[in-house]
Amino acid sequence: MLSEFLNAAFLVALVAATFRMVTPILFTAIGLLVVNRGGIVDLSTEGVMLMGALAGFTAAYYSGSLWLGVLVGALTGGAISLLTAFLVVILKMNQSVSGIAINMLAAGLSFYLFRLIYGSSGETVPTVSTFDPLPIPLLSEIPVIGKVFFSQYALTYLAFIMVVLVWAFLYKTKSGLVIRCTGDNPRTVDTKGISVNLVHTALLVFGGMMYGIGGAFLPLVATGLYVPGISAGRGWIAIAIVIFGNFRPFRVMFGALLFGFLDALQLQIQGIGIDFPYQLLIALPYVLTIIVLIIGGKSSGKPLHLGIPYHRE
Amino acid sequence: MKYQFVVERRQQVSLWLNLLAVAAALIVGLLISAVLIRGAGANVLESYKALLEGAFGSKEAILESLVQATPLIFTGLAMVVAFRSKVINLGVEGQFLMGTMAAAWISMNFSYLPNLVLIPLLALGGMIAGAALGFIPAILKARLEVNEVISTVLLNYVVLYFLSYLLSGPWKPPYEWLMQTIRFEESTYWPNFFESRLHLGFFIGLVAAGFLLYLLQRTPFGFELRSVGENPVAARYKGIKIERIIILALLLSAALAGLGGVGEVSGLHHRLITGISKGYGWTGILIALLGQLNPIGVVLAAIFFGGLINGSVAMKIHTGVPIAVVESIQGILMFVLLSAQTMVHFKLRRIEDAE
Amino acid sequence: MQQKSQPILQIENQTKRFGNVLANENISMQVCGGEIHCLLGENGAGKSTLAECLYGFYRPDSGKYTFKGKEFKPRSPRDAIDAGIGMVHQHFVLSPPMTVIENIVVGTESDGIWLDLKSASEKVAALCSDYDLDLELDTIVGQLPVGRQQWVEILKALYVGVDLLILDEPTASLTPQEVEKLFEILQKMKTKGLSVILITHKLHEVMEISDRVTVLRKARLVGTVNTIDVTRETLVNMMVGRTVSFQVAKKIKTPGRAILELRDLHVLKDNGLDGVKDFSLSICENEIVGLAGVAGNGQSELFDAIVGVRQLQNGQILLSGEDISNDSPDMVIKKGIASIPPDRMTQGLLMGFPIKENLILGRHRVAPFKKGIELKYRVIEQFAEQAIEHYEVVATSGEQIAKTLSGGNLQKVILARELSHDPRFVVASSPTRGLDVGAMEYVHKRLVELRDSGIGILLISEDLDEVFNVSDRIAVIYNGEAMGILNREEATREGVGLLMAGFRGGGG
Repeated sequence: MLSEFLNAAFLVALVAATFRMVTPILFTAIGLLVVNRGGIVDLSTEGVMLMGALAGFTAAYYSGSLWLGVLVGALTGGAISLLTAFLVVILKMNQSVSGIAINMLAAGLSFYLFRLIYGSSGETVPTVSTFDPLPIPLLSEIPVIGKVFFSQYALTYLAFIMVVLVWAFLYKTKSGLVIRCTGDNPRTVDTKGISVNLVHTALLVFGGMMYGIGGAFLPLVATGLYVPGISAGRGWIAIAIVIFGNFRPFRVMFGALLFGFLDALQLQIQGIGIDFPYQLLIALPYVLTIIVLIIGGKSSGKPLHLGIPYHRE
Repeated sequence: MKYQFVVERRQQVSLWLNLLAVAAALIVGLLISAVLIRGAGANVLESYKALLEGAFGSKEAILESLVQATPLIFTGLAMVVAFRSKVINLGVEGQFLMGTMAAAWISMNFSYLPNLVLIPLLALGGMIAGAALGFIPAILKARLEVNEVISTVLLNYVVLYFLSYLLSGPWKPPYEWLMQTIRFEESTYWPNFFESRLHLGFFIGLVAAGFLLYLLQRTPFGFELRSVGENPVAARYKGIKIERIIILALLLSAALAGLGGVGEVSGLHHRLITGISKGYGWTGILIALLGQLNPIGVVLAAIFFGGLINGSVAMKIHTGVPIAVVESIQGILMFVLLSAQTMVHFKLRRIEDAE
Repeated sequence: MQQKSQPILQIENQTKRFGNVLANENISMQVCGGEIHCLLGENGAGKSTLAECLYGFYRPDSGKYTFKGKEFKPRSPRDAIDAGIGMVHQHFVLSPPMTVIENIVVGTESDGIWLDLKSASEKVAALCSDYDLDLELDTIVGQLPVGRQQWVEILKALYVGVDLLILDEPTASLTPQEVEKLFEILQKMKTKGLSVILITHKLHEVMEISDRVTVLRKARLVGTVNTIDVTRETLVNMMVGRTVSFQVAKKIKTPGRAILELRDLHVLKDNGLDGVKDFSLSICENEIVGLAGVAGNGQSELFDAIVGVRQLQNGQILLSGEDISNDSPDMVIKKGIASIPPDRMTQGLLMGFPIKENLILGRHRVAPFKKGIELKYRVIEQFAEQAIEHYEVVATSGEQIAKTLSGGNLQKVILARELSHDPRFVVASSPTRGLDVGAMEYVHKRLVELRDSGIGILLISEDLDEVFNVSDRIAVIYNGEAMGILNREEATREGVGLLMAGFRGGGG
């Protein structure tokens, strides 16, 4: 049995699957990272991913265009985050509670709208044909490595490009400095005449769009169909990963890869038909995420003003 | 003279203003929900009429609404404990399921015991099982500063998959199609009342609410719990052991959730089925907020929401609106309620324009 | 000094209220070009509000500004910055994990989207040499001493270019030597033609540096005078509305036995670095020991260690000879140590709770407030009534929510809670911070009464005036170490100031 694990084909499939599984979480985590760096706790990720998935899937289903699906997923996510912004930025509400509220709102709506659009179960399940992988010319022909790294989906490449872009934005641009300072002490930018509310709203909308894309990836790339609750806790896991990643882009990417690997591993083990209850295998990544949280629990890179509503007075 | 308005924070919000906010939120929430009902192609007034009659239109309807309210009383109380101590326990769903599993396990293994022994034993078992799950995030938060929001949520998934595993194999009789256990022996039943499905769980819920009210408002422990929720730093300086309070609060919250789970198994279904919790843990958050974090308020909010769930069945039959509308209404109410309750903390003041 | 130049700034009839609180009522004043203008008033007189409105942070309800001859209507700090007004806020507005240069550059306008720290550094370095400031621009701001952090604040303003700089209570947590340095910087600004508004409540600063002074009292303008025309006494009268001695009447007492002994304490900060090192001090019955020092030199760690919320790494705390090292906070309370924490809102009170519950916090597990398993709210309410009366708390009843009280009344609630149960020892940290003169006198009177009745008190304070006014002996803490202890009679401000800055051999 051990030989089956060490089999080269198994490993290639495992690593390739890792990159696929990591994509939705990476989108969400990197979006959330930016929101957190600006000082806002956002617990709405799971629900927003669900709405992004439903909206993206529906757009693709009716238009036939997968890319339109991605766009609609992003826009839906951004729109829902505007509601978060209303609670958090305008009303200055407790950010954890607001996040939970938006999470429930989005999740509840996704259930209802799914039933409304596609009827109740029993009828034929609507599907879309998923994205094809996009092998990068030349690079994908390198043996092994080409197959693992350069024969992925366009959205997967995009997720990793976003990591680099977010890093460059946060650390190399003036706006990035403003965001980092806002997260540590919003007054520093307020006293320069920059609207903290505007910064926060912009961040939330950006974050929401990223969660939306992360959600849309699931039906448009991974499954081809929408099932209620499709995100299966990935939104929550993304939150854990940002904490584990110490609020730094590349460490967050590393954390996401770790989770993607575990997820891929349990899938591959299921695939080779080991006699072990699959439900317990699925549960494994959640347990490991908690363990990861214990390891990275006391993060030194936590923005100093994270989660505290900003009042002038 | 030109005027402009400035928004200012009120220092103290009266109880009346808070209740006004709740009432306003309910009205606005139902108005927004009307859009969803309209979206389903149904007549709004007719739908709401069907909903209301289905919920509270007859003695039977009212009793059934109370049945639906029962698990929500427990999860709502569980969230009150959590919110009052500012330990955000999003694991009520999982703790509830732990209660159902404990009840099922006891029912399957100890059905030879007399009913009078089993009734309290089931309750105790469910509370212990819920608390056991709550202990993990509690100890992680108190000792290792692990964020309880995430750890509690993630444990929900673990429990959910574990339950799914039990019901697909070990606890499923071979002849059974559905993922569920056998029907338990009658010795394990909690009694029913008024010749309806209303069971002991509802009354235990009422007692639990009274107990919690007393605990929070009249005992040193309740005072400490509220103090830690209000300001953990000051609480610590004044000799309150906050780690201990955090752990106890989570345990209490989780035990209440677990007890709620027992009610659904031993009082209602008499077997463990998939989907035994219809997101009660999450609805509990709304119930707690709707009830102003007050145990009596929770009972009222739970009955209101039980009616909504019960009435939605009648609405589905009469006007075809999918039952999932309840989940949407829940989300909308939550949003509107929080907005309203925050808005009453502000007031508008008119000032002369500087010009 | 009397170069009667054109006013650079004119404020006419400014009014501003927050809710029901009137912060500024019909205030008018003028600032001339190239002058140092003090804005004097007690805590809560409305000085900061006036300045924050001018800086565009708040919008005044009514009033008119003329700045550099033009009408000036700031809608946000951006407008103020563009017009040439800079401000150094009372609580520094810095991002501690960022470097000096990042803090200076953030939010300033320049071309392009990329961050160019290099050219910014050159510009700031030039400013530093102009003003004779020795500052590493790549240092993490959080690691700088308070005095240096203030330089960063000043550089932030100078970097964007100012004609008028407002400094809000800039000397609150500086050593006397750092204050001297600050005043040198301000004088340099003046010679370069800049105008300065210095907000303060300290008279000696007004006398030392200002050309003119505008006095506010209870949200109203008292008047503007030339500094050379007035004496300290006149200014006190203008500021408080009556004569204040500032000297607390104390009975002559000989210190009794040592009540609290700190022996070689070693306590860590949150970040694991040393907070307090080899710290020894003993406080006797009948005496107030003042512990002076610049904020952040281990005072909060020391306070925490005494009240039991911070572990001792080493050393001993003895209360009347009994070892109470590492006792839990509730044990410390039971054994008779009362504490007045430096930050009353976060460390002392439950702001959302009624006064009555705040009054029993820490005593909620002992009779008469607890009987059996219950809290006795009847007893608690009676106690609250008495406490409110006895400690002169301005409140309708014990039911009133703490956050609706003023700072002085909040402090009285804490005093009532801490002092009502016959303490053996009191540790008070910055007990008068942010209070007006009346409340300050009240707190000092109470502390001295306790001392006269035989109790030992450790008064931790950054306010040298307070330390000198109240203490029988004065100790100094610097970088977590005890720098020495002096009798009040032999201590001088300069000597204590040197000790606060870490120079041993100062003092007498």
